[in-house]
Formats: sequence, C-alpha cells, structure tokens
Amino acid sequence: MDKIKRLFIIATMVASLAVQNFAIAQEGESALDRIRERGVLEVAVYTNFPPFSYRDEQGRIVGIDADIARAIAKSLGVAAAIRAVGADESMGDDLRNNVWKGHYLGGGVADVMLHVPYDAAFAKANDRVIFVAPYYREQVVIAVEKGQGANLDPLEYFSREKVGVELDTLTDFYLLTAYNGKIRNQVVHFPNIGEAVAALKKGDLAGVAGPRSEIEFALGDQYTDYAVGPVQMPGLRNSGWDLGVAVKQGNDALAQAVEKAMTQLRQKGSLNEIFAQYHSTYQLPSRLRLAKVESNERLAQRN
Amino acid sequence: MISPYRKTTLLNRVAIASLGAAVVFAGSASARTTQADIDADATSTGDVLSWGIGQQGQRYSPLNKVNKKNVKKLVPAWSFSFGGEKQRGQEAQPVIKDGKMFVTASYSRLYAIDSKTGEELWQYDHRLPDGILPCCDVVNRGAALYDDLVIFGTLDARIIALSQETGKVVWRAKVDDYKAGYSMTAAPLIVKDMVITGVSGGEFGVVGRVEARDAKTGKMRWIRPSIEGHMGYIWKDGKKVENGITGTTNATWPGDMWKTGGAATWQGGSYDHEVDLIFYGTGNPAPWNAHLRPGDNLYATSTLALDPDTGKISWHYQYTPNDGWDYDGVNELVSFNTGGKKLAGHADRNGFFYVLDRTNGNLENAFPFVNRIDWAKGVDLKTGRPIETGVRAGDPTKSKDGKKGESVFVAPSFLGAKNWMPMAYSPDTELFYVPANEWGMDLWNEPITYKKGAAYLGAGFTIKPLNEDYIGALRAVDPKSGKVVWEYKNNAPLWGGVMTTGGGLVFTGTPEGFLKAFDDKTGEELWKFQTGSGVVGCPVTWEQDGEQFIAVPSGWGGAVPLWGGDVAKKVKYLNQGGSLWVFKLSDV
Repeated sequence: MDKIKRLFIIATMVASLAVQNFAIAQEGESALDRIRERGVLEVAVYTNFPPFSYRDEQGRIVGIDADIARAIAKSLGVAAAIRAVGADESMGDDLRNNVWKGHYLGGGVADVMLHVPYDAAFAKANDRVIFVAPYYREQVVIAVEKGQGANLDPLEYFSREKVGVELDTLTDFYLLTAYNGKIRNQVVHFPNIGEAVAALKKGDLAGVAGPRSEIEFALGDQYTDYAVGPVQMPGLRNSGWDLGVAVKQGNDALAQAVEKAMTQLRQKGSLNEIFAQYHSTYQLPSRLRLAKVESNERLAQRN
Repeated sequence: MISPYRKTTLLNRVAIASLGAAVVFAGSASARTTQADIDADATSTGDVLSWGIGQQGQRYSPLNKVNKKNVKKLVPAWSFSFGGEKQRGQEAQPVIKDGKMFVTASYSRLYAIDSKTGEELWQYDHRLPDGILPCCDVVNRGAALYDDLVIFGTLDARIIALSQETGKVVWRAKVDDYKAGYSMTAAPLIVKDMVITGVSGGEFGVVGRVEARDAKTGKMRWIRPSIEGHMGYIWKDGKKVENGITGTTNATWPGDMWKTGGAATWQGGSYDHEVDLIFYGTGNPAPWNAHLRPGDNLYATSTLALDPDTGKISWHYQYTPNDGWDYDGVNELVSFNTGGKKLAGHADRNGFFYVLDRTNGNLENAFPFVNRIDWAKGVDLKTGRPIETGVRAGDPTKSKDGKKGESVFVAPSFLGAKNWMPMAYSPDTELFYVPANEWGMDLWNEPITYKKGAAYLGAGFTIKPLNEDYIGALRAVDPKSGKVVWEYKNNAPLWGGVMTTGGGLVFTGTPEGFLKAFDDKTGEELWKFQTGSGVVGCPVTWEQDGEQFIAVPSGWGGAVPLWGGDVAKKVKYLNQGGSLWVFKLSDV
C-alpha cells in the first residue's frame, strides 16, 4: 500500500462535531500532577526540521521549538524531555501517533506536541486533542536577489528563471499550477528549504519559495543580499497559518498551564528573542495581532 | 534471536540425510534448491518452493487427492502459533521442502517447522530498530528458497538469507534506509541464481526500482528504476556501470517531477521461464494530484517486463495513465497459455481485467471484473488505452473560496477492485479465480489540511461499500469471453490469496476467519473451517508420505483495519491472531 493513500483517512474517521472544551477539570490526579511528580514534561517536536528542531554538532536537539519546549517546562517547574518525531502523511496522523494514542508499533505518547496548526476547522476534525497556546504565524514568502524584489512580476520572472521549492508542499503545488502551469517547468524540487537556499546562494536559482522562518534561517547572515517577502500569486489563499500546541483531550489542567506559560513567554519578549536567535522574524499569530507589530517594521527594513 | 536447538532438529537432519540418499538414487532433485527446481515448482507436488506456487504465479497445484468428493473430510492436521505479543496481519504464503516448512509472520519473523508434525525447528526474530514507520501494517508475505538458503525481506528494508538447516544468517543486504520510510514486505523472487526484489514505502516521491543480487552472496547484479529519466546500473566484474536510462526523460513528465515520481515496486514480481522475463508491477505516481503532472507519467501504474540478464525493460503496459485515483498497478501478472498463445492475466485496482501477450505486452482483451467502474467506460483494444469518463477529483489549487471542493463518487475505491492478494488460474477450467471487492470512494480536494505543521493541499477519501450485504466477491473469470462464470459473495472485504487444485477445488480465506473450498466449475461452497482469526494469508498444498496437506496462515490485519468509514463497521469486531493451520483428509 502506498503511503499516499492514508492521507486524511484519519480525519474522515473522526467526524465528530465536538469542539474543544476546557470546562471540566478531571477528578483525581491530573496529567499535570503526574508531570510535576515525575519532574519531566515530554514534548514532541519534529525531527530534522531547522530552524525549529534539529540536532547541533554535539547531538543536542536545538531550535525554536526546542527552546520554547524547554522554556515552558521551566515555567512548569520541571525538566523538558524532547522527543524528536518523524512526520507522517498528515498532521492528523502525527497527533494520533504522538499525542492521543501512540503509534501502533509502541512507544506511547508525549505530554504535548509543538508546531501544530491552530485552526478552528482543523480542531473540529481532530477532537481527541486540545489545541492551545498559539505562538506564531508562519507565512509563505519568496526570496529573490535584492533589486528584483520591489515590483516582481512572478509570471514574467519565473517563466524564464528557476525557482526552488520543497517537494510536496503547499508552495510546490501552487507554483506547479499557478498561471495555468506556465512556470511549471521552471520549478526545481528540493528535499528541504535548506538545500534550495544553498542552490540560490550558489546562483543556480533565481528564487526560493516557502515558509518564511525556514528561508530566513537558511539565508542566515546573507539575508541582507536578498529580498524576502510575500508575493501575490493568483489563487494563493493559505499564504499564512498559525501554530500552537497540542495536548491530549481531557488533560485540561496541563493545557491551561501551557497556555499560561506561553502567554508569559510572549509578554516577556522571550518568543521574539528565540526567533531572533535563529535569524527568523517573529510574527504574532493572527488571533493576537491587534495592531501592526514591530516585526513588520523589521520586515520593511529588510525589503 | 534464534531459539535454542531442539532434539527435533538433529532427528530431522538424520531423517533428511537418509531421505537424500534415496532421492539421489531415484535421480530426482537433491536437497539443495536449484533454479531448475524452482522453474518446475508448478508441477512438482512434494514441495512449494516459490511465491505463486511456481513463479509464473498460477497458484495451481495438480494434486487431486483432496477433491470435490472428499473435501468434506478435510480436518486439521496441526496448528502452529506464531506466539509473542506480536500479532497483526498474517499475509504470508508458506514454502515447503524436504519435510520442512518456512513461513514468515508479522514483524519480520520467520519460522522453520516440521511440515508433518508442526513442531518448530527454529525461529528467526529479526531485530527491528526503533523508529521504523511502515505505512500499512507490519506484514510479511513470505520467503524464497534457493540452494540451502531461505531468503526474505524485513520491515527495516533488509534482505536476510538464512541457512535452511540452522536458521543462522548467511548473508544480509541493506536495500535502503528505514529512517527514510523504506521497508520490505513482499516475497523475493529467484531468477537465474539471483534474488529479485523491489522496495516498499519510502519518503514522498521516492522512485521505485527493481534490484537483482547474487542469491548466494547478496552482491549486486543490476538495478532498474521504474520512472523515466533515471539511470539503471549493472555490475560488471564487481564494478557498477551505467546501463541506460529508463524510458525517455520528460517524455511523459513535466519539469523535474520525474525525479520524484513514485511508482514503488512494493508488491514483488513474477518470473516466466518460457519467455525469460521478469514481470514487476509499479505503484501510483507522485504527487497525488494528477493536475500537477500532465502526461502519462511512465512507468507508474504499469507492469514492467524486464530482461533478467540485463535488467533492461523489454516491454511495458500501463493500466492507468496519469493516475488520479490512486490505482496502483502493482498487482501480479499471471502467465497462462491458450490456443498456442503465451498470454498473461492481470486484475487491476482500477476494476479491469487485462489479458496481455506476454511476449510483447500487446493488449489482447480487457473487461471489467467488478460491477461498477466509474473512471473509465472501457479499454480501447486497438490503442490499449482506457476510455475515460472524466470522473476525476477537481484541482484543489483552483478552489476559489478555500473550502472543501466538490466531491465525486468513484468506484473502485483506492483499495482497489482487487488489492495485493493474489488470484489463481486453473489450466483445467481455464478460469481465473479473482478475490475482488466491490467498493467505491467519495473523493474530494481538501484545501485546508496540514502536513508537518504546514498548510497543505490534500485529497479526502471515504471508502463506501456498494452493496448492503457484501464487499468481497470471489469471482471465476473467463479470460476469453470476459464473463464471470460464478461468484461467491463475502460480507467483509476479501484480503487473502487464492489457490486452485487438480482436485477441482478453489481455496481462499475470509476476514471472518474461515478457510473455504469451492467447486472450481460451479462456485458451490464445499467446505469451510474456522481458524479463530481473519484469514488474509495465502494457502498452499503439497504431498508428503502419500497424503495431501493444505496450509494457510491465520491472523487478521493488513491495510483494511487501518481505514475507517463504513468499511470499518464491517471489520471492527474481528480479532487479531497469529497462527498457521494445516489440514489433511480425516483417517476415519
């Protein structure tokens, strides 16, 4: 059976109308009590996923999500045990494997998982999980050499120049079909954004399209040589999405504690600092974006 | 990893030694399995040496001691538990030689058993690393015999060759990195002293390939990718040499998409010694959204006929060009001869039964073997191409409002009118016995989905039965007329292999736990036995000491229980298991 088949089957299995519910605290010992007794919060993050979670030269799991995981554990008064997990066919599979059920091969679940979408429609389809603590907004951008950025006409530009994408992503699909497939033959596929940006730096590509944080991190100190910004493309709807934390349904006290810890991290400016450390622009999740924030100013300066 | 030797091992050795002397005197096969033995497997009744009961894949045994008249007297001879906590799907086909049975079980386990008494001789538990992510259950479909070796593939994408005598590892080969999602579940093929394998799983877009290794040492011989544009290789004097690309780059794929075009070779293949070709099926193309890859997307959803000496593609036939329904083309191609022609039959996921000239891949006949097919009206026998109806999922990138796209209903479902479970062909009745399933799917584009924390464009599938009272249908199909001669309906989807015999019987298992025997001409159910768990394995038969034995693994699992929807209701009460049942005629 090819893996592709499993897409969204799980989502269709869980066709309940129930919505997330914080109201009723569990009787007896809660998951939060057990975590405090144990002294360890186990956090699932994706493996090999810079700048969010990846191994440094010493083999330690570092990155934005790893740092946030440790900061949340600290505010709960416990240590963080980071569980680096592989991505399955869909986010629903990942939640089943790592948050509410565990993989059928064994290994159990983590207490919380980072980097999960914070989206009402998605939450409705995944009611075994509580979605809390939205912490940033990801956005699809295109990086091109500086000077091309200001009034770039993507159709005109990429019908003669090559653009790199990560294979099997939203950006990949959009560029293959944009303008009725007119730039399809200029789309070059890479296994990850890091390799695409490396090809851009070498001059093999004229641009790279993908999630802002991954592209900015890969550009690193050279980001001043490039213009990074959203590009208007016909049909590009989901050009941004919010990310938060998943907790197993029923573990309400833990969910509330994580929400509170994340709010404090944001208010203290820790989230901004963590993102900056990885050369990435921090963007508030849409729920919290009440006004233009300073990150946008920084973005303007870059472009 | 190997259980301590038992007394039986030693006794058995002595028994085989004396038997061997007798056999040599009679001028028959020696204890070692040769290529000639394997090529003659379909007609030799004292053993089962290969996947398919002969590598032409007919799953026909000429044995007739058990027949229509006496099959009611079939009773258990012995049963064997695979043990442990590891159950799940048992999809294997056992192999038998010189009084020893070799059968694989879930989680990459292999057992050697005394085929007369059911006593275990040795057990090999492959040590699986943490972090394997097999896509669709932890099954294994069987082992191959060659020389004094028993060879099988493991969930962490290794080929392991064990001594038939001791169960000790003789050689092992890494096919690919299990961390990238590769695994192996199919039974290997033995062709001209090589072991032939494909690959299962793999990260998104991984390109399928067929590989040949020296069966005695595991050393590489050739490799043939299954998507156009990729270089094949052959090993000459130990050196890897370029051996021509597959197809023509960008002939049927746009841009650089052929580099990640899919077409996994996960099901295994067959070998026809009459035409000296290896037949290997290929999976669906990547990505799933057919709108992104205009063109036929060769050689996805095809059968490849490979020259065993070079690994070059001799011919191909593609069942579902520009596949948009996830109709893998991996199902087996079964050789048969009729009217002086060398033909082959293939029952595809897509609902059509194809009859090909196996010398050149020309289409001779094509007809439906299920009651409803929505995606095509038929197959044009002149061009060999499907006549599409236009029932395809919409392009999700064209969804204006970002909401769920229009849903289309299409039959068969992506689990196929027939899935992996092998059919059988009887040269006596000249009929194929096809384990079919009648189901369709709602298929829609899904603009709001997520993958690895990122927005993604997915497709939604919900499988739906087409009939209230059954999904599974074992059908006797006439390859000449395209008519269904008889059918047996089963409540749950059929997921086990079929076997037919010279005794006029057709055997197959059901998820409800029965092994059943049918009259090969009428479809009348003549016998059944409840094995205690769902039967999704492949039955075999052999003769030993004048008696005919029939064996089948029992243990519910495989891909069906991993899916939901209305199908789940039909199978959710089924319990897991893990055992082997062997039957013979009652003495009384």
